[in-house]
Amino acid sequence: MVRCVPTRRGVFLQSSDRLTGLPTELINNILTLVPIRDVVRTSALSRNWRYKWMYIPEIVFDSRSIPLFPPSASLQGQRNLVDFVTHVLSFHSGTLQKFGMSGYLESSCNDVDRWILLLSRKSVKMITLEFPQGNQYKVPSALFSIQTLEELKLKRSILKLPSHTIGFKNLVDLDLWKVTLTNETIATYNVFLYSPCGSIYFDNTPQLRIASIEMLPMMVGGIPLPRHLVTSRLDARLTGLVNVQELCIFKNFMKILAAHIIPERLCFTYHILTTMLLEMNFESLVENSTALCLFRSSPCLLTLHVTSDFSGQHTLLGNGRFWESIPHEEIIFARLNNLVLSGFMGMKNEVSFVQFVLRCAVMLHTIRITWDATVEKGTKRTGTLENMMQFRRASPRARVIFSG
Amino acid sequence: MKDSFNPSIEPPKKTVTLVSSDGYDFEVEEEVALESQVIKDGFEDKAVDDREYLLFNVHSDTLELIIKYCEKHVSSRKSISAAAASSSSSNGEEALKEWDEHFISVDTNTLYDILMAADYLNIKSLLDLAIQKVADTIHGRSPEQIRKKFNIENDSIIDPWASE
Repeated sequence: MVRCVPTRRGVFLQSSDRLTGLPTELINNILTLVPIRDVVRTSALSRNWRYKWMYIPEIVFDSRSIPLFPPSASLQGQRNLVDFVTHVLSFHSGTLQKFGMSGYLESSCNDVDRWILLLSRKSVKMITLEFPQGNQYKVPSALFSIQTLEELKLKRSILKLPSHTIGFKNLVDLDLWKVTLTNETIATYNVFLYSPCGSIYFDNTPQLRIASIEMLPMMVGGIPLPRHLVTSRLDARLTGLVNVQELCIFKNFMKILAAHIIPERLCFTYHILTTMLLEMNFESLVENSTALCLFRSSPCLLTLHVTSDFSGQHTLLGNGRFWESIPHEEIIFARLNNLVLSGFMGMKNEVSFVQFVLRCAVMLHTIRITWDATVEKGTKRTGTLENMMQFRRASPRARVIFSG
Repeated sequence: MKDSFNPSIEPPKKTVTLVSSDGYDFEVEEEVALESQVIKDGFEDKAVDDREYLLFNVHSDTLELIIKYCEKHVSSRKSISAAAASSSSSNGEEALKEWDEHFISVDTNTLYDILMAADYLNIKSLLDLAIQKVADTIHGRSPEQIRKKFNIENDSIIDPWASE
């Protein structure tokens, strides 16, 4: 670096107030890092500062903001805090990116309902609500009207889905911890998750009847999965889904499941699970193991939809031995009636999976196989067909229908 | 301003010229200048022999500090990745953090200059550092202390905090 003779400049007087003059965006960035309590205090600085805090993009009440607040046992302390939060939210102008509240409130607090109502008018994108130990907080249905929501973190709450739920269109990250999902009326829960770390856990969801889980493709492919996933058993991830009737697992969630330690079977059984939809890659050993583990744990399965997703990953398993190696005396698919296999490419593992189903499912009625559009009609298809004709069938009435 | 002769580096590193608001030229290595997202974005548009950037909003005193920061970050990034490649343990990142801490411990006026320049040049890590510094200064201080620290004139008609 070459430098000319330096000169001291005297453009700005030492006494001038330059903080006030900073662009709003920078002021907001600064105030976002300051605990909310100090942020609100800036209104006392000067006339210019009176309203600046009302435009901050994030309002977070955490241990930093409320350091020595009276313990939640004190009723007056609780009241003061509630009033403070209500005031901050009522005075805040414009849109809000994030609202967070953790650990300071009794979950019986009705004021949270009012906050959620206030938040729903602010196009809020992120909400974190964490309640301390004790009763769970019943999340009001107003939460579901916040269509701008992208990230929702709930801790120790009860989520009762309204009967006409439209879900969150923009939700990217859903993190439920000790959350009970209840729904007596429809018992459907479609989680369309676009979560970077697969941070969904079903810890306690005994009412859940239909679980459909999908994740954004780019997230899983690019980013390595967090290590804690890889070292925990698959059971931990799925244990809350024990009462589902219908389970849909789309490919990227399948990848996340497959990253766990896969036991031979889960430590619990899906006693009422009748319909399962899997999107999986037959060329991946771990995904095959995951699928097998799920099949073993679902003895009541009637209908199975499998979409073969060959995503170019050809490395782990090429010989078609996986499904052949399962001992013949093992009882799997005891009640299976229907198998729908789509995206069929005639690869060895897919064929041997069909063979496996034909061999095991004594009640089998129909296998419907749809060819993948990329497979040319002609010798390849007929060759595979001829091969599959020879498979032994455990069910005398089993039909195999090809289409596509 | 001519390039200074430096025999230790070969091949000669590409440089760009940054011109401060008060008209001083700074010749810096290309990768150092590219720490600024604004310069990086405009980089492709420039002809090879015309790598000169007029930074109307950055005074030479501030620019000197900014360049010092960028040079430090470029060099320590290299040494950190080199240490990672040879799998030898190093506390490079911690040392850099310490260096940052020291770097940003400046008087309020300089802090503003750095903040504005980092915003103008879009140097994210430096902007974050400066913003954090201002935030830390506000954190835990009473309005009166903040006014004093930042030279804010209290023109409120009623000051509800006056009794504190």
